[in-house]
Amino acid sequence: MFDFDKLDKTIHERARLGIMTLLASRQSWPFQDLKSELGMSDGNLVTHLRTLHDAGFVAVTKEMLDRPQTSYSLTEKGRIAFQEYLAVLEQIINTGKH
Amino acid sequence: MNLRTEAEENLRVIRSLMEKSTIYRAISAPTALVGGLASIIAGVMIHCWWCMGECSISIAQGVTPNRIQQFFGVWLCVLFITGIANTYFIWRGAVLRKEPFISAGMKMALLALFPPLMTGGIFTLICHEVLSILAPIWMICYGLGLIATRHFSPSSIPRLGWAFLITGLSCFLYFKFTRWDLAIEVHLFANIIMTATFGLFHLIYAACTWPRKTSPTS
Repeated sequence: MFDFDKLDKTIHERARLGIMTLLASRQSWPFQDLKSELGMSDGNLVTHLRTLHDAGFVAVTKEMLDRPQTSYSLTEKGRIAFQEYLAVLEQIINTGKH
Repeated sequence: MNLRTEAEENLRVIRSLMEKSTIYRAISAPTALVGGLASIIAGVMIHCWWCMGECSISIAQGVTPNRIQQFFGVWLCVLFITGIANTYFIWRGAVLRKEPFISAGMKMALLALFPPLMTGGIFTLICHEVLSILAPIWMICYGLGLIATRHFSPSSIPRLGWAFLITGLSCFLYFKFTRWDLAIEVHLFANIIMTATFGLFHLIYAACTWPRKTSPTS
């Protein structure tokens, strides 16, 4: 019987899973690129990013280029948490095969 | 079973997003600069060689210059130099980013580039005597290769690919419908279009995509 507590509830939500996946694929993502890639509204994306930031999974960088730009990246804690989440998913799938 | 289905669905979403978000620049700006400069130098060298020095000397000695061999030799050198430069810049970038040299992005790029480049290679073996076919074929295949990376490369690369494709097709049609009196005219024109495309196009690409320094304030 699988222990559901192993699934990180912060990551195990469709929108936040998408955010974590994109952040894991590149060093950093500007806010607008995240929004465009995920097809989310500003408010929705900000809410989920705040949740991930409060959990210590995401870091925020604000830069002044030709205009103000906010970028997000995975922290080391976030990267480890995401890898562990993937391992748990794999375990679930393998458990279901037996 | 429900949890397993959900896990599979989540992994599918992860895989899909990872593939969509992978960006791989098959040609970097420094590589384009090296390739562009090497092409311009090679093209000018061949042009001068055929128009002035080597040809007249060879003819005076009763030797027919083998322009095909000269063309191949010089442009293969350009390909070799550019290939070495590209490998170096990719390796250096991977070391700086602490990533593997052969990344997932590189594998995708190689898989996308292989069919058109293999086609170009086979045409080279078949049509190596006919520069009026070969030069446009090289441009067309190179362009198709760059366009094939469009799903995971910056937009500048497929745009460069389209420039090569359209120019190659145009030259192919031009060669087909133009009457050439002398072989030297065909050879010179083939060399000119190679210089213009592999030289100038790459230099323009390098100028447009050269990294610009930004100054973060926090």
